[in-house]
Amino acid sequence: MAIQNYTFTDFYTETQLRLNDPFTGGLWNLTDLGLYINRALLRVAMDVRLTRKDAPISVVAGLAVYSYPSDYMIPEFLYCSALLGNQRLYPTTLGQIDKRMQGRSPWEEDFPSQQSYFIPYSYNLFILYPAPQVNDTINLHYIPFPTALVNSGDTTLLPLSAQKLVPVFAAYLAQMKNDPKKALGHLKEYKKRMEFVRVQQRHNAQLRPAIMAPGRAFDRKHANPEVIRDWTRWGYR
Amino acid sequence: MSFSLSRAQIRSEVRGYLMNVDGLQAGWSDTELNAYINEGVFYIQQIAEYYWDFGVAPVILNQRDYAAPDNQYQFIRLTYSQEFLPQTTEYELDRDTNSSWRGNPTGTPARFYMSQHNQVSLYPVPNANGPSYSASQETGEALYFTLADGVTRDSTFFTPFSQELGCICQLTNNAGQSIIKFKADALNRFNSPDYGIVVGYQNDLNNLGFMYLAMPDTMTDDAHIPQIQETGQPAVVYYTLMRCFARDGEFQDFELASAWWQAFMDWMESALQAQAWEFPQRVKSAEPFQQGNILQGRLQAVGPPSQLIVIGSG
Repeated sequence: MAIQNYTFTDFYTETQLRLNDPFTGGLWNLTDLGLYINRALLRVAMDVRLTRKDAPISVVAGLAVYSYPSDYMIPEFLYCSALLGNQRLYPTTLGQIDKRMQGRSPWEEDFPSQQSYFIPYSYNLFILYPAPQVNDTINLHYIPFPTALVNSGDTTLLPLSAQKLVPVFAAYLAQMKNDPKKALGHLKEYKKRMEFVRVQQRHNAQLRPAIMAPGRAFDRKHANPEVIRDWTRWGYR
Repeated sequence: MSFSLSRAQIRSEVRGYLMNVDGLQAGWSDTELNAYINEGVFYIQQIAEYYWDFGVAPVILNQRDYAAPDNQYQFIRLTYSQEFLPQTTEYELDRDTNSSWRGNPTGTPARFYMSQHNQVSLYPVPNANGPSYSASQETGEALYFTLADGVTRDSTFFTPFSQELGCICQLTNNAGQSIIKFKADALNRFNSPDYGIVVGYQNDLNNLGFMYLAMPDTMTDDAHIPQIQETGQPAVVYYTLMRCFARDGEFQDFELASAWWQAFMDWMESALQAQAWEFPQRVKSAEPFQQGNILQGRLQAVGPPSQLIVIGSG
């Protein structure tokens, strides 16, 4: 026996079942349903944020502004090679850099060195400060967009618990064409069940508990010792 | 296959929902739908602030006022010669400086103030020109730069150009420092710094540099893609549908308009949560890391879209 893994066809079948629509297409044509299924896949990936990916990005000496990989959705952190000091950089803001040296740091001037700041800029760019002093490759750890389903046998990287949400949201989008009141039923179910899948995500990402209790009430199993020990490395004094 | 949506794809999905696909008997013309689509993109940008841009304005001797970039929506940060330029107001300058501050003394700008919604003014007024460059347009690629007279070649930048490669990846000045202010490609076609050509070149050294929230370009072609992240693009479909059903006329249906507004809100709430997702850096407090409803706060700041008052849920 194996764990179920939905194919594009399986998503079609379950969505049509929910809509009580014939498998050859009835009220909803198959092209539209495919669109709704892929839209639902995107929505589930946005909500549960369960998949992670690492991608290399070429950096050029002296160049500070870079594009994210084309499939990036949410950046988590960058890690650099030994050549660039093995830095692990978390996203920060322009304001955070402006606060350096009591706000008198001319950080934007050209002083290529080892990176100490990773600043997301716009929806598709990021800034490295200082700009790299050598040509090299850094790695972005990020939450990617899912791969859209095209062929009937295509599957997704999302776990089964998240896959099961896809037909629910797809049925909501499809039913919006026909009966918005009925559609709301699917949306309510999606929202309720999605929270349980998020629990799985929080369980996996022990580094990021939803609530961090202070002092001794802190549950060690939620701790990220590296963050606690080395937080000065991220720019805090 | 990417999740980005072109204007044609957005309109096609909208028409599918409207069940009004016959172009000859359309209840909503393509022109009308395109207008709603562009309006939706701007509304989403106002709420989610996806698209930021860079800009440079060459500084001119004794000139106080400078136009903001055309697509500037809100400034995030201004620099003069790559150093942070704090904002002030005319009131503060009247209070804290001598009465002739508007023109005298001149010097190195140390503050700016907004003298108009799309114009910044410098204090003190600059006492030197910043560099300004023009490039050869005929070939579509920069072969050389000229001085401000537009004729004399700027020998400073002659050496670093690699003519064989046909494009410029990087410029350095005489001190070997990199000058890196190339304008980002609006359509995000280049995901590597190796690709691209110089379209316009401006250097923010001794000039004004802008970082700002931008207004997305108006989409005029069906192949255009909104300048917002793919997470927010489906919401354009739902916004457009809301506007279609809210509009006065034969197909007006407030119930459907309201339902699509709810669909828009639902999608945007999810998109904003995805945008706000952050990796923890330190324990700040015992408050939950995950923010509550981000959308409501943003909506209060931006206000309801056109015609939402009519629906009654604005």
